[in-house]
Amino acid sequence: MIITILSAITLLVVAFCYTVTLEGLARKIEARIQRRYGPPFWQNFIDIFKGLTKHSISHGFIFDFGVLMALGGTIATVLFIPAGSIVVFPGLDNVFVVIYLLAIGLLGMAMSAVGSGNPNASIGIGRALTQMLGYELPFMIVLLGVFFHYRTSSLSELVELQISGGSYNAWIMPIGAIVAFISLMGMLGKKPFDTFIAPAEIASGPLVEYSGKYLGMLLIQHAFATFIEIGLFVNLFLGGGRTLWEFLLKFFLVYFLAVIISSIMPRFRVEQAVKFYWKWPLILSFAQVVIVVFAMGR
Amino acid sequence: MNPVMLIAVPLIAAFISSLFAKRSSLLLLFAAFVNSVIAIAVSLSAINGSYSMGGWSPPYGIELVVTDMTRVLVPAVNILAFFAIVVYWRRQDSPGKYSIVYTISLAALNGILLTNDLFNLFVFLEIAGVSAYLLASTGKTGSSKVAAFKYLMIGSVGSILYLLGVVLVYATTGTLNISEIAARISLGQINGDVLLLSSLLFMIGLGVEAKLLPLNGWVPDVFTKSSGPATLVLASIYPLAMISAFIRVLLAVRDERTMGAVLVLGVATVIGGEVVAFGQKRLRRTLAYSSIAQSGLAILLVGVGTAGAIAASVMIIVNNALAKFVLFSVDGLAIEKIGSDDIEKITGFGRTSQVTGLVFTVSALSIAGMPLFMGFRAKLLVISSSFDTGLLIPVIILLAAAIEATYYFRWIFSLYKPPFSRVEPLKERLPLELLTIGIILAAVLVFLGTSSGETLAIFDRAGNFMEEIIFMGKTLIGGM
Amino acid sequence: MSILTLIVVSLLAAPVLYVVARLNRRIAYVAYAGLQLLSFFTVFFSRGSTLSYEVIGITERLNFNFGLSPANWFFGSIVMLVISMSAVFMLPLNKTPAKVMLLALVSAGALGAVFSMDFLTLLIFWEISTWASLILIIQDREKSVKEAIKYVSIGAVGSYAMLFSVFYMLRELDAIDFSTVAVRIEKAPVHVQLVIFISLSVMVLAKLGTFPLHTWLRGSHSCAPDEFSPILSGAMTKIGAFLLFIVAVMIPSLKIFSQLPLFNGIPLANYVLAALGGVSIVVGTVMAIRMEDAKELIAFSTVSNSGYIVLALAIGGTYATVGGLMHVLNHAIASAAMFMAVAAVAYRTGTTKIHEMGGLIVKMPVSFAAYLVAIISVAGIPPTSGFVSKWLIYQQLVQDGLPFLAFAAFFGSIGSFMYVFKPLAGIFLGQLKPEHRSLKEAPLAMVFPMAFLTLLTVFWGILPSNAIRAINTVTESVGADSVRITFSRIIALTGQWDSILVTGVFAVGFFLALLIFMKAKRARRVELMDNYTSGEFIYTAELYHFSYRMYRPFDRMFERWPSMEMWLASLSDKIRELGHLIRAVFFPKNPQIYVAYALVVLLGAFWWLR
Repeated sequence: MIITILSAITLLVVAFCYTVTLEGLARKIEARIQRRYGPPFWQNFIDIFKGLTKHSISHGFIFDFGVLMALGGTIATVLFIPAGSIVVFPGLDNVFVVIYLLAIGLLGMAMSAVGSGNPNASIGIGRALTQMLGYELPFMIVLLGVFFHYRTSSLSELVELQISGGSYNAWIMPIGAIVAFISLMGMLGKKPFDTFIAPAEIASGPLVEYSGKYLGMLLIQHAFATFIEIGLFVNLFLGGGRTLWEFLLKFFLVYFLAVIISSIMPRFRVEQAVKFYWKWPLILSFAQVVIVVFAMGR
Repeated sequence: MNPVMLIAVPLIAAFISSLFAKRSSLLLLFAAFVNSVIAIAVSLSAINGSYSMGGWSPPYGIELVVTDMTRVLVPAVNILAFFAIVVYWRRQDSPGKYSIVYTISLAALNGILLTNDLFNLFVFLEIAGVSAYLLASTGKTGSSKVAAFKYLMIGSVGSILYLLGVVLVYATTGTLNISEIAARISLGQINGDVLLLSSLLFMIGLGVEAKLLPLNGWVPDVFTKSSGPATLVLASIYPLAMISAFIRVLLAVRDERTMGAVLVLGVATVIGGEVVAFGQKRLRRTLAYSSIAQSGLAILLVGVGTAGAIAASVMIIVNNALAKFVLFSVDGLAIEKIGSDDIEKITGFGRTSQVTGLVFTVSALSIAGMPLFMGFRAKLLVISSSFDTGLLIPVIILLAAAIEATYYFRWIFSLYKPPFSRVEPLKERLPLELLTIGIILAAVLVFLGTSSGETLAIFDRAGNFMEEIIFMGKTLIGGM
Repeated sequence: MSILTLIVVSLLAAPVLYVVARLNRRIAYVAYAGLQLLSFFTVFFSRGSTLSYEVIGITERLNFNFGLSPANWFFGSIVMLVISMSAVFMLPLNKTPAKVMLLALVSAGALGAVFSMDFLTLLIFWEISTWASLILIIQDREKSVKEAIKYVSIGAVGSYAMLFSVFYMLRELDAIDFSTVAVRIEKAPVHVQLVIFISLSVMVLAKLGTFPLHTWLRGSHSCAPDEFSPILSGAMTKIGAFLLFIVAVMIPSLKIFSQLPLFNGIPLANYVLAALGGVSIVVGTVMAIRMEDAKELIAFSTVSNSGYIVLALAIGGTYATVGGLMHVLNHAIASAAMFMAVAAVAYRTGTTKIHEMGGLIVKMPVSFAAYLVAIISVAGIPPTSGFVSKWLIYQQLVQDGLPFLAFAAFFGSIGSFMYVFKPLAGIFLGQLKPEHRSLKEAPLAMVFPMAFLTLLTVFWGILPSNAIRAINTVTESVGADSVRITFSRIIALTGQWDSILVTGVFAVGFFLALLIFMKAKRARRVELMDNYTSGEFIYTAELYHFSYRMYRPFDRMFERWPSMEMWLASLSDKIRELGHLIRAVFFPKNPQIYVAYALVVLLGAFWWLR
């Protein structure tokens, strides 16, 4: 019990600090690719704390409640991600639970954003939900193959099996790993899949009415969500990590790759994004799972 | 109680009416009422068996026979005839100067149900037929006369063919008594080809009145154009007698190949009737084609030929009689009050009077075969009998039933749909007789639909009637 | 009182209530609600052994057979729960004598159907319920007639397919009660098995509202009187699920058809049925996303969830069966709650079109809460009960390795986020229309059932073991396996899930977020119209509420999809044309032709038959 609480706290702290730092680093890297200097790598910490310490406005009960639900759900989900040697709930961290708990976060933010009364927010949420239908499908199909192969859908067990088996899923199911990575970019909301934010088009979409502590909390939520999503990918396809540092290193590599790719991309429209996901990634994911189910068996 | 009274009373009343023309409608009412009472008495008390006429015992004389089937149909015919007169008693559409025709037709229908002699049957068929032609022409417009004329043409041809069949049978068996003929044929005493030809002639001859495809071209026009009471009689009461005649004759002169033809034509009739009814926009026409389909159903069961099938057939025509009575009555009421029974114009009519809508719904649901009503029990029996012929027939019947349910519900909805404007209840009083009789008939449908199996045993026994007939015939032949 | 008495009382109550309603409508409706609640409690607390009553004979050999096996109890409780809650819900709404009589018939038929022990009893009572509901559907709205006709024809197709199978069963197996048929059908030849399975499946598909017989749901559910839609969607379709349970599970279809070619490890017959369920999930989801009317949207959601039920019960296996049964429970409750919430809103605002409303959360918070929990359940998000059933179905799909069916399941699940969110955003969130400023919350009679159903959803989400234990008895009673559970954990072969743990962790997270929220600086409350507008002034709330065609880009992607509705409508036209043809050929104007036909038939028949 004590160990659980301690590891939970550790995980939260690590996830927060590490992800926010990486976000800052990402801004720096992106800037350099785009031949700018970029802000200092600790800029995101400043942003969050600045947000939390300012007065702001609120648009009503659901506006507040939704943000709480978003952050609460995301924090809850973080606790289910194994991070190398820090595993808070071994055996009980079912991937479906993770995905759906994440959905609580999304739902909370969606309710809150639309509850602000700004149509830009509603447009953004509509696009986010549509896009979700795009990227989740190939991802889930690939996951089906993974679960079938290992006969388990628990994250920590999958990590152990990959480590003990000696090879990561990325080598066993390379097509699936690539498809999952493309879906990951959609999940993260990085270009070319950031139409739901679309800063210049719909004034940041869902985030348009948030300032002060709301914005701060949502930035924390975004950081945690990034951690969860990339953590999922690392655990599922790159074997997690025997230690925390191995995990964090793989995390950094994946994130780095995503940042580099997105920094040179423009933006898809939402139906282009969905059609894109439903074409090659979906076909490849089916191909992968057919190979897994029929050829590889268990 | 000698069932000949059922024929005698209306005939006497008819003769008296020809002398006292002014009292003819009163005499008609009187005859119908008396007949109903006698019919109930006959049904409850008379023993199964033959009643010979004029002291001449069969097979030389004409005999009337009471079987389980007659027990069911005779009261139905007479009581419904009485109701038909009552419903239109005080309205502008009343029988009036045609009362004598109604009286004679009542006599003839009873004769058809009771007689056991082929030629006697022909006589009664002719009488009923001529009355029918006259009744068909009672409509107000000229087109009703045209419809009656068409009926006359095809009906006459049917009668001639029937007579030809009678001649053939008489020539080969030497007798006109249906029981004896049935017995001889069941013992195999008739040449196969002769049997085939005669049974085909009977099929076509009786098929005209029984609304068999492709002989039923007269039905839509006659049912649509004739007057209120005439339609009631022609649509709900005539089928009872005509199909009963069809059943008896074809089962007596029974050839398996003809049964096959009957089956095929019956199926075709059902499909044709339902499909055409589906597209109709006027209630009367829909009901006419639906009547064709119901007849087709009854006939194809004859083609199946088992006892269960005959029982089902009887249930179908009784259900049809009761329900169509109400449906045509409500339709007549709508035409009288609104002027048309088009599906557009009739919307919301059911809301003008709760009772009207209710009885219409009950009757329509009964014909469509929904549970809680008699039509459903009939349908169960129909399906279970039709499985005897293989899988195809039940499937076709069910498909046709699906189409039927669809258009009947369309009419029920139309009756209840609130039209664009608010519907006020009709200012004039609706005829009380119609409402009362409607409620009675609807109650009967519900009762027969929900009562226990024993009540329906009467239909099962009706289905077995042929055994009695053949048995009687065998005793006539002399127990070979 | 015994179940039989209950059924008889319910049937007799119909005409009685009609008469009472002619005198005082309120009393009649209260009496109806009381009867339904009584029925529900009787049903729920009579978990007993199998009793069988043989009563009124239908024909010489067939009787009505009622019984109280676990399956009957399970489905009966669900159906009566929804009906009784709806009966309470409809007290403030428009009352007429005809409606209360038809409602009584619907309930009586539903009761008789779920407590039947043989196919004919099931069919008869189901039919009573169906035709009563048909007439009920057209009671309120003008346009409901056309939609109800679709229900008539598709329902008739299903009912007659079942009638066919009943008599076919009687001939081939000489039995029509569930248990005997289940035993005898194993020894029957393959074609008999297939005919029975297929004809019963047609009825299942028609009544559940699954592809390809789903086109009637949209119109019937949306045009039905508001108080009746929950019953249609939550109770009557679940009778279809009862039949599916019997056909696919009680009759061990996987075992029976194991001789057939296997596709992905599942017999072909089952796989085809499951595939139809899968297509239904996808079609229902896509169409739901494209709807602009709240009730039509929920109707398509019903299509989608029916697909889940069909898929789960057809592929069989421990988790899918238990998950499918649980999904019946979840969807009944959630769908009823959704329709009730929309009905409550419609009662106050007078419309069900999403874009004509907005911002109602401030005026009708309880309806909002009920709707929110219901949609969370439909979307399958913990800690509501919807997640449990979906999770179980996924576990089975993973274990069996069924990629295409899994695709459909995932599609439905993720797509459901989209369509459940749309009414939430359009009706309850966003800008409040000026004409709705004086609205009040729905009356207590409406609030209570919604709240109760919401609580049930949450309860079974946090403590699913309670429901699963009951479902385990159902599956065990027919010889299938049950799911291993502990107090808070569900254990499947491919994963575990601890519901209390997840809820607890979520509560912890929420609490942490709340801490941060409280510690940070207070926010100033601001009007909804006071928004980021790039410096413009705005005065009209309606223009500022984004809800019409919220998913237009997605909608555009599917504009040219082939439409099943149009195909079926054209079928009806073809029948009409055939009718005209027959009329032209066989009912011509000239009597000579009739005479000619007579002679032709006579001669032709003689020549043919010689």
